[in-house]
Amino acid sequence: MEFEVSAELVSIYLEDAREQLAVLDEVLLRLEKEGPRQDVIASVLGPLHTLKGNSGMIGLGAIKDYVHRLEEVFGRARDGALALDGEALDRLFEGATALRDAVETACAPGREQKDLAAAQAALAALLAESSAPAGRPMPAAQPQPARAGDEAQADAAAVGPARSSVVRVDFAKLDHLLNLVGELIVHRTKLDDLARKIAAVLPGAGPELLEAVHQVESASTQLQETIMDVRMLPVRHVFERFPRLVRDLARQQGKRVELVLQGEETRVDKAVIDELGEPLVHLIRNAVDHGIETPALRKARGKSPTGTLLLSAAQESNQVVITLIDDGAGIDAASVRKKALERGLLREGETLSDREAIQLIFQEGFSTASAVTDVSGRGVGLDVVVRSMERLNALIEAETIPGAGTKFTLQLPLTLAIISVLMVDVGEEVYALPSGAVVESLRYAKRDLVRMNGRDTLRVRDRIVPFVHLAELFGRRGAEGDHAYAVIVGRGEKRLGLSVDRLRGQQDVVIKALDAVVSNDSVGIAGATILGDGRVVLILDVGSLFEGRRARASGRGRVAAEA
Amino acid sequence: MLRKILAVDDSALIHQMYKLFLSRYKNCKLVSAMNGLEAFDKLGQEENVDLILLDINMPVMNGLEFLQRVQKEAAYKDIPVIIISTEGKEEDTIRGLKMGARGYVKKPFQASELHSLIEKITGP
Repeated sequence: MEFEVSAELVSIYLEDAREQLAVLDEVLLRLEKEGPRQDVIASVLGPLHTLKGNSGMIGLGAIKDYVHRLEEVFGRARDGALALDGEALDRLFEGATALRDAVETACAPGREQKDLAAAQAALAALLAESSAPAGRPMPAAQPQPARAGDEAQADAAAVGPARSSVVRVDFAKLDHLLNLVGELIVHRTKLDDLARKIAAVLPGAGPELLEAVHQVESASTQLQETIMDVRMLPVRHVFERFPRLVRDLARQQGKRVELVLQGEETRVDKAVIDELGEPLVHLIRNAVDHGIETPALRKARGKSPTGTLLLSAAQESNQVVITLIDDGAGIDAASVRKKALERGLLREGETLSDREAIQLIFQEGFSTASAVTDVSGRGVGLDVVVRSMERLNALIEAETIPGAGTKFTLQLPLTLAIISVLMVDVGEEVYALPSGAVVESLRYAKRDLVRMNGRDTLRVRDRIVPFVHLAELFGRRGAEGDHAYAVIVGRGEKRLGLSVDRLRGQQDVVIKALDAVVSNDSVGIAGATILGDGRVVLILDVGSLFEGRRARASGRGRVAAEA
Repeated sequence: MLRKILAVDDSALIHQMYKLFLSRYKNCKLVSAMNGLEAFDKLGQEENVDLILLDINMPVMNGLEFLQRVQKEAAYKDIPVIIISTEGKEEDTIRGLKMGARGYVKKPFQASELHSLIEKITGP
């Protein structure tokens, strides 16, 4: 190579390659479902051609050669000289997986180039079989306009929207922009205060100054909204890999599953998108593994042999709701209770409604898998999903009808960069609690605290809530006096009381990259923000307070730092 | 001399490479388009384009269609075009050359190949 292939080039290449590979998967899935169609086959040729060219340019010879072969296979298939039937499609699916793997490995830090010889040979065998003259003619499903080159027609097919004049921007730059705007908004508040003071003393220039400050305010608000909008991506970026995942999982287990996607164009902050993939993969695996029954069992139960998974996204006010519904076996509340008792997650004599019992599946150490399969039953339960949801400041809920199916509902914030918080005073310090976790706040008398098992508890109506003194936790001096405020926070069914000296009220704050603000081993800190007077306010990580562990400052702090 | 080069390719990677490769020229303005149609618009917006680097395989309007349109416009038909071709599409390159393209480079190309061709056409 005459030039150095920089990290930037590799990341551009990878981003494009992922799109091209997504088209390949989509085309293979369509061919498997709808049978050979000339227009569908042709639609993959353009992306493959670009992938080949790009791979060559950054020196990935093996990948370039493999894609060249793939192009040949699809080219012949389009011309009717090669039948893409079950066997051939299987090889192509395997090839697509090997190719994806090779691309990802080549772009990973080690930049290791995988050997694609075996996959190459499989394609060569396919091509060899096809050298016999044209097979059966293929239905040309759609009337085709006369065009100068076949590529034009290939690309015009339904697969990818044409690219317009788009500028690529490194996401880190957008993050930086948002941080700057956050600071601008902080200073704006200060400016506003000052302007009011000055206006009171200088009646002449006062109104003009206030007007100017007001304009700065309105422009900075618009700037913030615009940057937030630029950071948004359609959830399609996460959803597009699932059809292939579902197909592979269903095949492995001899099940028939159709995945239906809805609302793929719903837009969410890229930082949320990046965190969303893993929990959804887990839920989908879980649904195919434990939800959808085998075709025989489904028939016996009077259901269609093919199970359906519906994954949908929709924006509802300032959050995005994602639901995953399967029409499988459902979750049996009785066996959940039984298992929870065995695992010590439920005490003998504790009664829970069916709906409450179902939520136990999210508890750490609970796994509904009765047999360990190589899919989702690797001793990893849904608590992994719960933890992801906490990082996202999101809520998850399960509903089920035994025998009919299960529905998971995820409520996600549109962005991780700005959150609504409740500001509280603890001694001299101000802390922020994510509003999503706050159940209620109340004034209490210190003598109402009851010591149980070595820790303070507070009776809130009919519940005994464990209590944490934030002043103690952070080594601060709390205010003296007989009364204080308690903020009750929730995590699923659990409640925790936090003692604070004063409630300041709710506001939206821009989360600052945490690493710059506090060290990594801070207890229960999720991030930080800056107040109008320049004070740094730490945002508490409610999840880690529940676990009472010394949480690494991960979660949103990390997201904000990386994003 | 100032060179204004219009690069037409649907790959963001290739555009980044042009930026890298052409950075050695001090007086070079690079104009980018993702397909033939966009390139045609750019020709209308930019004055005095000295050279067009043209990919063939692109959505919306491919390189050959673009070339055909350029050849029909008196204002553009003398702008030299270099075809950027890819293995397996040799016949398209030949068609492009017959339609009036001045030369071609094959992907994957080296910076030096591009430089020598550019300099041959637009001067050192």
